[in-house]
Amino acid sequence: MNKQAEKLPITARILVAVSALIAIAAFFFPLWMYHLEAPQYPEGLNMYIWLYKLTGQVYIINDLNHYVGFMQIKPEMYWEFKVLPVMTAILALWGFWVAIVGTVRSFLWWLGYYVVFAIFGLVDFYYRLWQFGHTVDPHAPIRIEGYVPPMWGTRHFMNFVISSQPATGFWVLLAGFFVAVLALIAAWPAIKRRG
Amino acid sequence: MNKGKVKLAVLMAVVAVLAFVAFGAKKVATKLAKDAAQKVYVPPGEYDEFYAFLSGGFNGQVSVVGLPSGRILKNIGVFSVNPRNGYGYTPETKPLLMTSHGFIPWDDTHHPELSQTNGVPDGRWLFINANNTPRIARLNVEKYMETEETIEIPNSAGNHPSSFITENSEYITAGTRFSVPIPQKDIPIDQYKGNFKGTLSFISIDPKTGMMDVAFQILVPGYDYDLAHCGKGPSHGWCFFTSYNTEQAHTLLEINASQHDKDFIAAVNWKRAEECIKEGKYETWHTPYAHNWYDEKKHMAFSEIKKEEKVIKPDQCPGVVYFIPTPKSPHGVDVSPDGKYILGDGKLSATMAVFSFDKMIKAIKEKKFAGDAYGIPILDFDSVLDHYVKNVCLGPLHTESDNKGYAYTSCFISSEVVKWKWSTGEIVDRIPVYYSIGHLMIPGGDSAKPWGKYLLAMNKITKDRYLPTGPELNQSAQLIDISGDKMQLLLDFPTLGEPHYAQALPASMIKDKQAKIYNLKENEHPYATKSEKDVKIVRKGNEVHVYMTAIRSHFVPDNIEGVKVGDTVYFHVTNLEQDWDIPHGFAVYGADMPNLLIMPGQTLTLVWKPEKPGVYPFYCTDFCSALHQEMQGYVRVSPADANPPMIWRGGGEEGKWTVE
Repeated sequence: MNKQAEKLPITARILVAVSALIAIAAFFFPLWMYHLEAPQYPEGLNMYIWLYKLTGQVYIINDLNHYVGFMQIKPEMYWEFKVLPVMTAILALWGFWVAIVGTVRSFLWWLGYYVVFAIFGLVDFYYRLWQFGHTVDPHAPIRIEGYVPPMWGTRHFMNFVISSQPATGFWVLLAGFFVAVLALIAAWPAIKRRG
Repeated sequence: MNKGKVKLAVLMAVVAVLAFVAFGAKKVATKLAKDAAQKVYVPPGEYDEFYAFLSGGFNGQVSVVGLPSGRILKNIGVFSVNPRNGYGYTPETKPLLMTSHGFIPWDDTHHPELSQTNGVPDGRWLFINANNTPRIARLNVEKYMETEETIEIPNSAGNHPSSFITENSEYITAGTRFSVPIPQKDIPIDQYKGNFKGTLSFISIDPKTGMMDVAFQILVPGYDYDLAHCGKGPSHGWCFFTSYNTEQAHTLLEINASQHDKDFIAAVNWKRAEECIKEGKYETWHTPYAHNWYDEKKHMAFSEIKKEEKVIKPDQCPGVVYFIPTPKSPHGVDVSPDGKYILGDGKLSATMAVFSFDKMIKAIKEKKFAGDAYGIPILDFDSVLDHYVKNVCLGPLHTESDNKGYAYTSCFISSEVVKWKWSTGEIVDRIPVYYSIGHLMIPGGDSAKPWGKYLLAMNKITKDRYLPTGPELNQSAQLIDISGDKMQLLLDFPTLGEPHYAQALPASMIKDKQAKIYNLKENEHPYATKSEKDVKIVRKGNEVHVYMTAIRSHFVPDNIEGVKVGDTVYFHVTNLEQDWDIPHGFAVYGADMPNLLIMPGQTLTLVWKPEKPGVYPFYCTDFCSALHQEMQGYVRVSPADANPPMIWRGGGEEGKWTVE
């Protein structure tokens, strides 16, 4: 049998379609959230990171950031807000294509893309946090040492307790990835046959 | 045992009993005090149960007080300028204090009244009268707790029977406590009788916007119209006004206006008045009056002079007003929550008359009149009387109701509050207050559904209640628990100005609707500067307009050069913050107006006419941040004939003025 033509079982194809559908859902929820608390902000300040935008009290957080010379957080400074939605859309559309043509080869390439997408997203996020904490205005009224906001967890910074955690959109993408892994399990015999 | 020993034993026993009783009594008193303390204790960080709005009397303001704690939450400028935030001084707020007599920086606020729906306070607006130069103000209590509108009452003087509301906020009342020639003219004062007149005015309220208008005025004889309350339920459609000085004295009123055993309650059928207006039974008069309102979006007040009012003469509109004889020089007039009883608080009588609304209607139908006064029918007293509240106290002034059928009357002379039953007049309890109470207030106590629970006594004499502070003392209020059978004194607290009357509603009704900021995006102030990029200075002849921003912790611009003696400088300062409770202040050395206190997202203007060359600092007056002390700047003022560079610096930028 032609290796190129080895087909996925129907279960795997359905699971890939479901995974692609879930990826679309990630457009409708924030991926990550920051919650800042201070003595004079008992109600807290929130910032939400989406695939393509920032929401929450970014205006106020920026105003507070200027004391220590942190850069002002503005969506237009991050090309990721343009690239991430395209990458997610590709993930979903590619998934549907895999479900339709149903070849093992296309499935493996798609899965590979998913893994690269996930690693890229997390690594880039960490890099942006590091960059944020290390690009301070040298003329800021209050000078600080290099500081990296937490990616996942809670950290003190001056009068603030900053907590960061994944939000719904992240869990949606993780669920999508989990379904993709299920598809891999379902496709395993076919993959073995293909050798 | 000899007699001496017996005596001693008896004596010791008596001492022991007395000691036990005294000790016990002390324990009880301590327990009561503890009990009272618990009832008014609001733990740190927690909120009061009620918002109370107290008039400020001669301070012309309204104070917002939390109950049961008695904590002052805010003081709102209404008819008086407020240097705290520039109210009444800034071009944005000055128009609210305009009248047909020009700008007036002060008045005497008396009776706040919350807007009502179905006879119950609905938490939308608070109205309050100005007694001196007759006006009514409308405050927004739902969102901003600021004055939004003021309207002058033409053809009037001493606007005391005001501002009392009808069941669905159709109208708010106004009236003349000091009768005058209407329309005004120059005549000898001793020609009072027949020449001096009063008006009872109905100010309409737009149900959506709250905007007020003088709907109609009823011309009445020259008595002193003192207080009012409107009917509800069955008596909806009527308002009642007390009067004194039916003697029509014009000098030494203290004696000359206290001769009649009975004065009048004027019962006004405002639905009848509406009919007469429709039928054209009125005269159009042309006394000018000011109408002023605040535009929430433009952050600015506007003023107009109106020159037309509809005046109803009772003989041209029969059935619009009747007089009910009431003992003696009545002060308050109060309506029971069910709208069935009307009470005249006969200030100089120890007995109060409770009238029946049904009996009044019957007497009108059966024409049971005891003559007329200037053509207005006087109803037969016995036909309208339902029952008396006998020997209530000395100097009864005002009455409020709870939610259990009881009335509570304040007694000025005997310094007490008396609780009695509306339906029978039976007195059930009394409690002393300190001292000489004027108004009292129960949350919702003049509405169709009082919330009850607390009674606030607002007293005229303070004397020894607090640490002395020289001859001038703040007024005093007492909070009384009325939830049980017996009234219990809970708390003493000083108040601002002279609160005449107050209103209260449960905090839950409006607490979560309060605005935290003004939305910068929605700021349509013509001189708003919405970002530091838009900062500019424009010279128009001798006028210099500085489009300025404030944000923690700098002004842009903070260096201004090019101002000359003879210029008028307008600092239009926009607070760019969008964070809760981050106002910025603004003051300029030598400016003859108070500071601005600019809320987040708001624009306010300080006007300055520098008179001497030099360099003048300006700064933020509200401690806004850790770098507040650095929030400062300079204006250079050059001689009138100099030719200085017209530049500015700030926010790391530099700019040149625009000359138009």
